[in-house]
Amino acid sequence: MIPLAAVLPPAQPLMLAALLFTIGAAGVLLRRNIIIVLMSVELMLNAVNITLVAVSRAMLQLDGQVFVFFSLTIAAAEVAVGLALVVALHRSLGSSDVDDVSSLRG
Amino acid sequence: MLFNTSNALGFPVLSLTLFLPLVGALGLLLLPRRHDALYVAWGTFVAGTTTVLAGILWLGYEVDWPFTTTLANFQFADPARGPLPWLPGGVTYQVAVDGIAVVLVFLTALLTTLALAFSLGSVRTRVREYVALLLVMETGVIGVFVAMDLFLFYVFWEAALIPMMLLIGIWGGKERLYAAYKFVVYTIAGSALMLVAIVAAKELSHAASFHYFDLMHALAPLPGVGSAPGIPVPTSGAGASIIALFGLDLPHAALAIRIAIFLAFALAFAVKVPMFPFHTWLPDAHVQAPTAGSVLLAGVLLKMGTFGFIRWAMPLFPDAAMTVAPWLVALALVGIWYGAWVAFAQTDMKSLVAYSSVSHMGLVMIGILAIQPVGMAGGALQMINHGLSTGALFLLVGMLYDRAHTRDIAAFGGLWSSMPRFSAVFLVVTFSSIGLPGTNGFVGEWLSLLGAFQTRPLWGILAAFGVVFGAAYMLRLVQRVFFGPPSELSRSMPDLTGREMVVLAPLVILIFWIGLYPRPFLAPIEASGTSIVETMRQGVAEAVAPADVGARIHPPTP
Amino acid sequence: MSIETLLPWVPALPLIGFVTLVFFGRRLGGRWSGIVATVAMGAAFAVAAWLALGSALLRPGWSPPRVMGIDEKHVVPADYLDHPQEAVYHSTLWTWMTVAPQYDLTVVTRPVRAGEPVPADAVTTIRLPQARITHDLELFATSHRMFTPEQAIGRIARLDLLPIGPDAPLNGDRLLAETTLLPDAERAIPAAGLPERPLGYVVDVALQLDALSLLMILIVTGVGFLIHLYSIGYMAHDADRPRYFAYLNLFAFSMLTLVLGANFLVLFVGWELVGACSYLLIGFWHKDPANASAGRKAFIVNRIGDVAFLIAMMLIFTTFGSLAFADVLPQAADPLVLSGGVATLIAALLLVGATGKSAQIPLYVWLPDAMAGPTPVSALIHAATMVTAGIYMMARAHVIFDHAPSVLVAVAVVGAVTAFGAALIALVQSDIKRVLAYSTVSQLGYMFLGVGAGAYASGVFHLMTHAFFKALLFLGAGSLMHAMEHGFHHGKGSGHGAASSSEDHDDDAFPPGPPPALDGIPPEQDLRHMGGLLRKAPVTGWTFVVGGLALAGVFPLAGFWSKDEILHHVIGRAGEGGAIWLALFALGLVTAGLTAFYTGRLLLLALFGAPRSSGAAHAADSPRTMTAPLVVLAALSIVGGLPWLSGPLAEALDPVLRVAGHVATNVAGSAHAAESGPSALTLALIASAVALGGLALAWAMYRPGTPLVDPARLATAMGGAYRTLRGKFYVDELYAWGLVRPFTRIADFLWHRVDDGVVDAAVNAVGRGAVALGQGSRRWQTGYVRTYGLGIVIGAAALAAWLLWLV
Repeated sequence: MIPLAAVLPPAQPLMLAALLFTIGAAGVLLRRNIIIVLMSVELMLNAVNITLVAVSRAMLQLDGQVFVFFSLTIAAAEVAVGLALVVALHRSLGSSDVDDVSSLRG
Repeated sequence: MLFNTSNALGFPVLSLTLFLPLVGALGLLLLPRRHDALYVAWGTFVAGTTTVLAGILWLGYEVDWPFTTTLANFQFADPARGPLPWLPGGVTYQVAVDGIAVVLVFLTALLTTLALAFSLGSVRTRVREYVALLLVMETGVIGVFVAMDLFLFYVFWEAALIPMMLLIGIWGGKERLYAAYKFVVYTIAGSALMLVAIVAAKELSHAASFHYFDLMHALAPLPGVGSAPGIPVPTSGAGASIIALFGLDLPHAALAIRIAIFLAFALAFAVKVPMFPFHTWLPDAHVQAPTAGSVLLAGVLLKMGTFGFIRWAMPLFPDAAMTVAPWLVALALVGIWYGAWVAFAQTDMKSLVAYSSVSHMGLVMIGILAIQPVGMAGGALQMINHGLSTGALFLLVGMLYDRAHTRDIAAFGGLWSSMPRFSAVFLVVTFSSIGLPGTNGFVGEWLSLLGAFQTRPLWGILAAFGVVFGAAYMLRLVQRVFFGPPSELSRSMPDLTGREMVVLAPLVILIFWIGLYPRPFLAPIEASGTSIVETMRQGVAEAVAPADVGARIHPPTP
Repeated sequence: MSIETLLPWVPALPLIGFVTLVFFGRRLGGRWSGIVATVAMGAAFAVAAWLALGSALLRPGWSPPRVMGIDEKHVVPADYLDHPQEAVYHSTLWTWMTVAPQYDLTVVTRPVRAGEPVPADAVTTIRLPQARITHDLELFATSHRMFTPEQAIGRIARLDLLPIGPDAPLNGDRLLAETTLLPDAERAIPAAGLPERPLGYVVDVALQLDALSLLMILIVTGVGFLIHLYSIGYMAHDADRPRYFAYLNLFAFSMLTLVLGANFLVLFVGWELVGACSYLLIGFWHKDPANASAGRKAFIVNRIGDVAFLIAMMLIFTTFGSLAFADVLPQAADPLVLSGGVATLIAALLLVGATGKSAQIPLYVWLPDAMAGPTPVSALIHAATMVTAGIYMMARAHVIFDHAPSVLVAVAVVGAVTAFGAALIALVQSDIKRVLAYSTVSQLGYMFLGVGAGAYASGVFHLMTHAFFKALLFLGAGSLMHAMEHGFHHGKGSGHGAASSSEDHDDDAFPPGPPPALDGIPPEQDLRHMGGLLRKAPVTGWTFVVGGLALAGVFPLAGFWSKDEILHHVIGRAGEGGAIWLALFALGLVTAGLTAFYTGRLLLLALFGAPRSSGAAHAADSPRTMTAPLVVLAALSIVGGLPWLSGPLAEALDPVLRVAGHVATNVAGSAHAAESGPSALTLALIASAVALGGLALAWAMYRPGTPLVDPARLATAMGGAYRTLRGKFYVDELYAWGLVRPFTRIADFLWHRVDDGVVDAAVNAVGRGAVALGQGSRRWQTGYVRTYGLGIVIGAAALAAWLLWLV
């Protein structure tokens, strides 16, 4: 029987991840500049990546780390599309404020 | 052995009839641009070919087939070997016709052809789309009549709906969007409930599939098969709590469940028929729809509702149907009287004919709900008759509208002087509509009334009064439009053209044909109708007394 | 040709005429249309006459070679078979409606060892649907397939298709042989295959000819032919003659279908079609909305009666399982089949139907308005034929009425009251056609009285004589109107012509051209503008006098005999005890006096005295196509009622109309009734005195020159009564106020208030509710990304909290 401590991930990386995630979430919710929002989303994504790597390491399995590669790839694609959208929005609206993009209001 | 294959033609004639209009609609894509007359001609040709195929079905249908008493005498099954699995969860593809469906398919094809032939020159915008939609709708409606699988039936039911919505919404009158929305939302609201009922009927009864025979086997005991398991009464969970709340014993709880499912079906069908309180979409839709739309709406789309009762709701839940029948009959009776009465006050010709449809379809329902051979035959025949006479009325009103650009009754008067041929045809159709003997209306009307009378004399009596008062509004219409001094508008109206007479001729011929020698129509209808009634009665009788099976003599397989 | 094959031609010929005129009428033109229609009608009459001579149905004392229409399948009470003279020719054209046809067939119920006779208890009769039988028979015929004894269970015992004897193929099991199986297979299944008549709901398009229908078709085709002939002249200047003659032929076809139908449903076809034709013909001059309205009124009032008939037919079918006269009437004669209650119900419903078609209270209102049609139409439809349909129908179904004595009394009361009331109204009308119309209603009331007294033959007899003299009167009135119109035009043309004789001198007192219409009555048919027409139009005038006297019941004209016979039977019933019959007799007698009075008034005002307008002054007799039918009808009105005709007629009708012996206590319609009342001679004298009294009174009031009693002063003296009669008891107004106006108001109410206001409003309210729900929930959608983000975060946090709680 494996001791419980061996499978539990170390606290420090997880705390770092939680901190980063909270900062990212706060940025998404509080900042209005669309580029900063995008960067905050990246922060949240990377916080999750840290968690994945940490838990993967703790459980002595490679799945989590492999998944991080996928995640990074998706993040890159997302940034590319996201920045393109930002440019397109800036061109059409003349601003990069997320609150100006509210035409879906009911 | 449930299908008579002796008249199979060696190719899947029924599937061909079903999908030919759809293929024809796709074929429109291949035609060159901006040839409006060509599109209509192509559409008429495709629908005409479908009519020929439907005629072959009708002629080939064998009425005298020995197993009519065991099930509705389905023929031309395709695939003939058995249902083809289509979707997971027990959805299959199989089409077949019984005696009622075969005549309805013919009526659908004929009316579509005539509506298309009429549309030449009458519709000027987006002709290609118009023709395509009519053809797609034809497939949808025929599909409703031929589907052997309940889920397939539902798919066609909804498929027939969309083209009609677009026909009203794009080519309709001033209030077309309102009418189109109302039509769709009303019908969908009903059919959503039906979808629940469809799933419930299959899942609760643990039927093998949505196929008619499987459902019948699971729900309604077939003669000779013995009592079916039916739908088990829930012993735990919310269902059990509800049953406990009403304090029902086991048989009553089982009946209550069947009644609930039957009512869900009945609501969907009643909206389509339309029965009394669910009818208000009809005048709006009719008044706004283009002529061809009105013809098909009244001629065949309404029949989907009554057909649903005959084919699905009543045979699957015979005891529920018999329990609920008096209430539905009450609604139908109200509809007969009310429709006729409200029609009397109308100022718009189309809305008058629409309300008259409410009245006439009430009579159809009375005949069907008598659950008795004569009434069933009368009701089913009256479906055909209503399609012919009301279809013809809408065509005639459309012809008048094309000339005068109004349907206001008060704007006309004295038309007989300027349009004698038109007036004569209108009078014939009027006589058919009010059920004068010698025309088709009388045969269906009389049989429906007699059937209702034999089940409950009061039904027949009340319905008879309502039906005969129908003469009042039609004659009022005739008098206001055709008699009296010619109005300014009426004086300059040209009489029927040759093309219009060709369009009307089949309807007039059928009006007299069915009136005088209804046998070719009545024989398949009554054979299947009788067998449905017998099946229902036996189902109920065997559910009550399973021991009494041997009372009837069944044919041993030779 | 046999009678059965010839029979369908009687209605078919007018139908052919109709179809020809519908398709080729305009090409033929007015003149040829008239000729085609008349020839069709004449041919129909010829066929009818041929049938009359060939069938000898109307020849009394003749006994038919075979009894038709009754076979051993039907339960025929012995009483019904007491009358071997019952002779009916059937001609079934095709099966009209069939639903669930079934056959009673004899079958084996359990295995039987071959070579042994089938025990009686192994044979039974079951009811099988047609399809099963057809299938089995085909199986036998095509495949020579044999049934083993086991398989024979439930199979049809039709073994004449099986090879019998040692040649029969054997495969293990022995076959059942015919002789051993079923000795009476022959009876169960005739050689043709199936029994002739399946059970279940089956109606044939079938005609039948017996003495009653034969008499009716002779009247319809005969009078109809004369009216067609007359129409050629009368309608000569109408542009729409093809349509007119087409309708006329269609009407003749419908009426012939009505009287020849072999079952209630075919009768009903004619019944409704004559109503429809009447609708079309009344509204023939449809440019005048009043005419079209009159047509519509006729149709709808008729239809109200038709509902009752329809319900009666449903009840008949439910009771007897058939609608064919040959099935129903013999059964109805059996009190075990037809109980009194059901009989009363059926008879009462039939009575309501008959009041609609035969214009009796309360449904008589359509007939006077029906005079809006061309006058020959009034003669044909509204005097001679269509309105008699009710009497014909009651006579046809008299077996049912015999079982419902209370309904018979109701029939008599309706008839007598209608006869009296209509005669009162006729007293004061100025429109010549309206006088005749109310007189028709009144005379139909007489026929009802006769039928109600159980004297069906007398009712039918009066129907016949009435057809003669009323057709004559209507055609004569038309001819007088024609003469008046001629006069108006003539007067216009030669207003200042040289006046030679004294009365021409008088004529110049009138302004040329027609005077303005009074009370909306066209001047040419207004009695107040007539006068002295006898001298101007002698043929029309004298025949009119003959018709009038026949109507008044003057000896020895037709009306005298038939009316006398009805009164005779009524007083016969009174003799049995029953004050009501005495009252009815008194009413009938008074009506006879009134009839004589208004007829006298009509004749005196129209034909005698001085002309009262330029039309009357310059009138000229009608062309010969119009006067010839008048002469023929006048001759018939003279001789039509003579006893040497009526005696054999009653004898010939007796087998059809005789009251069955065991119900004779209910109905004393037989000759015995005469013995209990005053003698025939006394009654004839009384009736003659009454008629002459009425005529004398009319003479006193309307004679040329100074009247002994001034009608104008009398009218003033009896102001209220006069106005009520003049206003036709205000029944039309009552119906308009009490029935028509509520009907239209309710229609408007239902449409606007109920349909738009409640039903549709509820639907739209549901729609609006859905929209409001959407409107409310749209507030959740702010459009700000961070709001959605916050939602996600809160949701995720909640989820996490739940998961933690779970752990």
